[in-house]
Amino acid sequence: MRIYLMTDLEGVAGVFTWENRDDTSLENHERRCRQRRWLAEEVSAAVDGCFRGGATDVIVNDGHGAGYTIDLDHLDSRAWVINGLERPFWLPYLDEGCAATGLVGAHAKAGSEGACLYHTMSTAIRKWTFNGIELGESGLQAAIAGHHGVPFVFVTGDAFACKEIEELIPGVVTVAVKVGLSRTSALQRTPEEARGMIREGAQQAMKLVDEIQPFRLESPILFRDERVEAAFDEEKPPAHSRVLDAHTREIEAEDILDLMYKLYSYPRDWRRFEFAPA
Amino acid sequence: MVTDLEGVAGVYQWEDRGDDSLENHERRCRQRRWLAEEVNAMTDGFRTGGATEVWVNDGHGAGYTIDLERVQPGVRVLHGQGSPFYCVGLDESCAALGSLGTHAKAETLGATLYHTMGPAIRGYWLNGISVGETGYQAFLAGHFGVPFVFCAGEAHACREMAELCPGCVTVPVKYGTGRFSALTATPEKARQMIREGAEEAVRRIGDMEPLRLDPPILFREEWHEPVFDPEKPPRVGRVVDSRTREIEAEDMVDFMHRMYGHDRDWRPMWKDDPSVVEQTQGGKDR
Repeated sequence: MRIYLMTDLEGVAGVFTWENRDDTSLENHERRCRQRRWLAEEVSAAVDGCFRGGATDVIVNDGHGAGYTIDLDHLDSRAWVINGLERPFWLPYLDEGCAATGLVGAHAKAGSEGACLYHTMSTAIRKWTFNGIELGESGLQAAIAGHHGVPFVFVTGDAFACKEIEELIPGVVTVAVKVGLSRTSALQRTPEEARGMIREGAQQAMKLVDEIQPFRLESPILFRDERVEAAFDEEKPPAHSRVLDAHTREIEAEDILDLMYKLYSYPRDWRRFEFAPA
Repeated sequence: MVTDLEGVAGVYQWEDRGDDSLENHERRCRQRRWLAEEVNAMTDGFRTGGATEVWVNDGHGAGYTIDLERVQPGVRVLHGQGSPFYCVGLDESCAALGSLGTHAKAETLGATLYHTMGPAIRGYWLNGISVGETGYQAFLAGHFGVPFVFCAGEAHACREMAELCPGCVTVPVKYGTGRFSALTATPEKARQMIREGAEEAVRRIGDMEPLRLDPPILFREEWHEPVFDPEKPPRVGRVVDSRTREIEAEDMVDFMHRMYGHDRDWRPMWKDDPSVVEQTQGGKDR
């Protein structure tokens, strides 16, 4: 039973600021090192919970920012981790071979007033809708998993992010390790308590792998991308796009994978190396 | 064993030795530690399998990448710059050769950090056989009758060596998802896999054939960009076109001397006085 865990940094207990990868001060370096460790410990707790619940292997996608945020020296050694830059797809190896997927360190989607560090992909996005359904990153992950028939069963992070996915997926296990107070403040669990909650939640989620339905979007997909600032020019529309106004474009796609290829120009011919964990 | 950095579990970017930021410093120190721990794991496996001596060629970049303080006693590490031969100590006195931290050869699309010697090289061929760095080393070992028995590193590199040296033990500690990304084992898991694989590799030594080339040798080197001027030929070799040269040699050792201009008369001190290496041995009782 393979479990695929996506990870992010903003929803980790203790985190309340955007990661600044350009600030070379010692203070920021220390903060980043610490947060990388916190993330690794939360992911470890989730991995452990998955194994306790019956998982036989766990693939972890180091999904935040530059793709090297999880401190590998603090990670449960049983996990396999996708890290690095210029990836061939947002969620490589998430396919029919996985029994379920989850997300550790989730933040709420763009426009979630009151949530801690809310955004969708970047702060430039005002709203993303798919056939009129508003989705954040967790919802998009769930839709891609659902395309492959894989259920989204587990999320940890800000309480706003938990509520967001609960409205989308009945029965999903959520672990709120903090409650957003504003965009850059939250009521936090301590890192240690968060880990205990996450371990229990992940283990419980494993029992629901066969019960929770995959989240599927109907095909074809009409994707609408609304930006905070003026970003589009009707005379020079981005690839595959129809510009509605300076802030808005639409993309039509056959399905969610087709949309991801069009949106990010991922290579359609990339095939994963056959992976058999030792 | 010959070590490199790009195929170590967790590594997915070129080492930048010019970036003096704190972040990069921390990364480099960490990766040097990861490499050293993989060396220890491989040494443990070799010794459990029956190896009595383990020599390590610190093969990456500047030649000082393995964090020596973390390497277990008894291992002999060849490191530094301006080495008098390519793979000093690799000769008929070795029972087998293995590689650690291995990356795939140039032009292996999908592999993490693939290259041969440097990103500017499009490929190396020995008598028409495409080789990367590790294949190159396996043929040098074969000259001395030494089989290549073990490859730990990126999955494409493992496949490359399994095709070149059928029967060798391969331990893929990560699977390339692109040139700068991978699905990687954790460092701890990688060490466990390497330990087990290295032990098995020693047991296979008697069954493995050295990778030999029929002399003479024709080496072909292709670059991505024009680098050769037929009017001003390089020190060695025949310029085929502005991107390609060929070098003819009697055998692999002769080739290495021609290719790198090493002094043919140089002999390591221990060839005349074996006691200098025996005296440093500290791992006998492990």
